[in-house]
Amino acid sequence: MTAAASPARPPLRDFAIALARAFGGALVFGLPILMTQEMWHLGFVMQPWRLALFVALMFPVLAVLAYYAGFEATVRLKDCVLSACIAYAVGFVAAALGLLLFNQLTLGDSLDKVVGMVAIQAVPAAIGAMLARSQLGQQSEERTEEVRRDSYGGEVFLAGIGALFLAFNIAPTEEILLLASTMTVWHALILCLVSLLMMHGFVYAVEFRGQTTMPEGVSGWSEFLRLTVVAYALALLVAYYVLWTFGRCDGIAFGEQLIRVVVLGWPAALGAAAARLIL
Amino acid sequence: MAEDQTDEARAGQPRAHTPLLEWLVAGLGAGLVLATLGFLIQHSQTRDQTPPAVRVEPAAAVPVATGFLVAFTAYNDGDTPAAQIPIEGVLVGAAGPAERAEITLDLLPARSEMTGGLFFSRAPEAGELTVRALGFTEP
Repeated sequence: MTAAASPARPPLRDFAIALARAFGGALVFGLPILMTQEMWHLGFVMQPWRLALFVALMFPVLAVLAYYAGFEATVRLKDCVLSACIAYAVGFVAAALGLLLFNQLTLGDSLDKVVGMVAIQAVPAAIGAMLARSQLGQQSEERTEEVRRDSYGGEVFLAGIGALFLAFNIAPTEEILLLASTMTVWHALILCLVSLLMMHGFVYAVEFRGQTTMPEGVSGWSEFLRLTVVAYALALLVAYYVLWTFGRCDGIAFGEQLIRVVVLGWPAALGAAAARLIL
Repeated sequence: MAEDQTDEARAGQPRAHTPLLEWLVAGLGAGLVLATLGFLIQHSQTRDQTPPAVRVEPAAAVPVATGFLVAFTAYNDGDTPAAQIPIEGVLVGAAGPAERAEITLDLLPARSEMTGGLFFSRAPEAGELTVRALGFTEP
């Protein structure tokens, strides 16, 4: 950390390149949601305070994400907050431009419609902007962040980000509601177990690039409990939170809510497992 | 030999130093997952046991620009989800021919509720209004 003391403010050109990369990331990660029909309405149909809570909660999440996988190998809190602000700026602009381009936003639209539509789209775009450097950019600053990511907190946090990202992509679709009603409870139970096994297999059994090797002397059960089960529980919580934010649980009996959560929990679990491998 | 020992010492490190916090988080995670499984098993005992039974409760009519709005809440008292449920409102005896309004609810899970509204041109209070579900398909 002493050796990798954050460099003085990068020259303007570097910042422009980083910003362009962030836009690239925002588009790549934001596009599936930008082109999902339900998302055009959700922004102004959902309860405004839930949207506000979501946008506000994502700010500290982005700041922590900056620590693990941001534009710069930042150390200081100030830099992380700054990175989160930039990611949101890029996210909002990318979302607004995308919606304008598709003629979903027009200049005569009411302010509450514009704010709702753009704000909900800005969140995945901002995550994409933040991840752009980690995924698309140069690998030179990777080492310090790699070390941070390998900590327990880092692994769990990134699993949560992966879960959030995939859950957010799939939660707005009607298919989740339909699947949960078509499946029996036994299907849901088996899906739970499959999700758990799949997460564990993804990370430890299948030969993936960037695969985490299980440290010797640590029992498989310990790893399963400390990482896989925790990541799955987190994936379920994230899935529930996203469904609740979109109003997909309102008026629904708890048992039925839970089936929806488990259905969305499957992609969320995949995202959580994949995040640990890819990021 | 000396190398073996260092290896062993290094290998033993993570287990010896697994912090309490990690075990607490693990316990919380296991608790959540087990609670989910437990609740689902309990839920499986009742789900699909009784057919969909959709009860519609209309609220008091509210005057709107084009007439009157009757908001309603549809409850599924059964243990089976229902889909494509036509909700019909019929207003008779309000000084004129019977008036009919209909809307279709996409999906109503078991033991859940959903809200909607029907429009009428005349005041429902002046006549007799019945709102009911006509049927359903299985999703």
